[in-house]
Amino acid sequence: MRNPSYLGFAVGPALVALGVLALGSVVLWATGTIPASPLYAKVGPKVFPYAIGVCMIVLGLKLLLEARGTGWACEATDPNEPPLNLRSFGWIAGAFALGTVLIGWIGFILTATLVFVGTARSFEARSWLKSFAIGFALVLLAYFGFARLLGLRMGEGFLESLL
Amino acid sequence: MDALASLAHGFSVALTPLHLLWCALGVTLGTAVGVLPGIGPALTIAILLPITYQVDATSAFILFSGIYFGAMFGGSTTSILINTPGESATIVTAIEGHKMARKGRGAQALATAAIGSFIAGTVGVIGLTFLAPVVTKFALMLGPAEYFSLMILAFVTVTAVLGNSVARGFTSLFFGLALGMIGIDLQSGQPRFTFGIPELFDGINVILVTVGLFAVGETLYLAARHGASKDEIIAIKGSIWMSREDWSRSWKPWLRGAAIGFPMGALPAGGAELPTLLSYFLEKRLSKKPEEFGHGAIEGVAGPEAANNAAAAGVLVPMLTLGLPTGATAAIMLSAFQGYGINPGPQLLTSQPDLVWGLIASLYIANVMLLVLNLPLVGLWVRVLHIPKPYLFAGIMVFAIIGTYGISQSFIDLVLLLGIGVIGFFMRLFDFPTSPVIIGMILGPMAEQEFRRAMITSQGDMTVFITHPLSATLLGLAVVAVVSPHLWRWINRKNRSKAE
Repeated sequence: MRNPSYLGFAVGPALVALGVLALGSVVLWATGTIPASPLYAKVGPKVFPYAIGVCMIVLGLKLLLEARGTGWACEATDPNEPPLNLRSFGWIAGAFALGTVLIGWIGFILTATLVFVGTARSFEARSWLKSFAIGFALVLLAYFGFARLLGLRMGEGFLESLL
Repeated sequence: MDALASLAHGFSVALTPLHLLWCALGVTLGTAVGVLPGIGPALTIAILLPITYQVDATSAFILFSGIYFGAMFGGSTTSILINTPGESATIVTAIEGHKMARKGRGAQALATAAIGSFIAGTVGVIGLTFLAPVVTKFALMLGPAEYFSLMILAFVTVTAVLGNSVARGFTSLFFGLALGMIGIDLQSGQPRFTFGIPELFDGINVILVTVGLFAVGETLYLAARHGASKDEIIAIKGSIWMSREDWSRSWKPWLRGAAIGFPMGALPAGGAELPTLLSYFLEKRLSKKPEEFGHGAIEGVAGPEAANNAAAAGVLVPMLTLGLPTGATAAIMLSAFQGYGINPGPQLLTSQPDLVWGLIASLYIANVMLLVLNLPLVGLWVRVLHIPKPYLFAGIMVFAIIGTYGISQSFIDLVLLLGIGVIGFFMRLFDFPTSPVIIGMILGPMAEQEFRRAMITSQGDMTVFITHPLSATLLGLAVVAVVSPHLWRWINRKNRSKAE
């Protein structure tokens, strides 16, 4: 994988460190908005969140230090690792995001089938039709067997209302 | 004697047909998920958690521990036949076992792994049987301050030991702690980190985070690495029996592995990765044929495999007696206890003897079942490995959606699932360990509760944590665990520069 650097920092690890810093800041900010009642003044609901926020900021700074030069050793900074297969990544993430948006309309069964087909495509399943057939069968089986056995309710959708 | 009487009672619970059936189901499912790459026991138990609404606690925990033990057995099959470890604790097995398989000694590698797992697993459960009542007595002496310090120690060891970097381990832990804070604070009734989203008032479900990190994140990672390596399943051929030499080279590593694995699993340091590594290096040092290491030495399979199963039994000691999970799987099991309204901890052994001793007894039975499943029937599991990857991972994604959407029917949960999956993907890429997230999420709110209890009894005096001797000792150990690796490196560097 390429490991570009900018201003003496490895870009990937530095972004991760900045992400941790941002998360720590959000935690601190959100802690400030927790209304504290004087009843619990001593160890109120804010003590732990504040501690967590402060520690995350410290860890973010530590990671930023480690991001100098070539960053820490991991797959993302190893020049010998092959580049990411973003197409495959995109198929799963895309199918999942689409399913999430549509689940209110098409229901669980079709959404899960959609994610199945997208994931199978991501790992280079050749036939769309075969993926769809296997996926649809598995989801139906899971819907009736697994979900009913565990007493899960899978919401409504037009296929669900037909069954 | 006390333990033996309790164990006898446990067997009377575990040997009922229904519980035997749950045990058999658990070990079979566990072996399957252990064999399959990309899916592990923590994920499987998380997806099956809703079962706790349907069956009684004893059955559910017999099922869950069957899965946990089964995955330890099954993982070795994958490590040996394909080079990708099916489970994180079987990475070392992949080194020697896979080399053995390449040399046509796959059957012997599988056999020594299965028998070693059985022996060490049984030794581990015997250890659990006798150690649990002892630890319980110790645990009854712990007050809130000591409990809080013990949890801090567990946080530190779990993160400092797992993974390669203390900073990255702690980042994962604090991410989990922050996630655990989301929702209504039970003591003051104040919503925290909910950003006004009503769905977040009950907190983020641990199932969602587990499934997000371990199923969605892992699948995204494998997809992004797709095409980078070719996995080839090596067929088992030749004699399937272990020779006399194989036996004589295996039995000592089995016992040594058990002796390393169980105590290390039982310590709050937990986890099965470290004992397997230690066992590997110990066997390498003790072996009469060290030159074979790296080229398929049977000791390098026997020892670590034994160590990881004994450690799995060890992890149950702090889980059942202190309510302290030291691994992702144990953390999920702890949340199952919470689902039943049972508080694992020192009272568990006396308040739920049927559950605890039935569970321990069923582990003995599970080990026997697993030996049968993994030795004569290993061919069956090899066939499981042949499931085409596209459909395997697509299936995992379907179950990931069922596991989360099925409990909430919430659109927000699907968004969170994808978000946490993407975070898990980057964690994998940048080498952040994922287990501390789960542990932090489960243990964080518990630690906060103990902290507040300690503060109430001490009337806000923060010094209780260092004035109580036991609490101070535990905190001291935590400091040592963080500092000692650095100190060690520093001393080494000094010595080296002196030598030059």
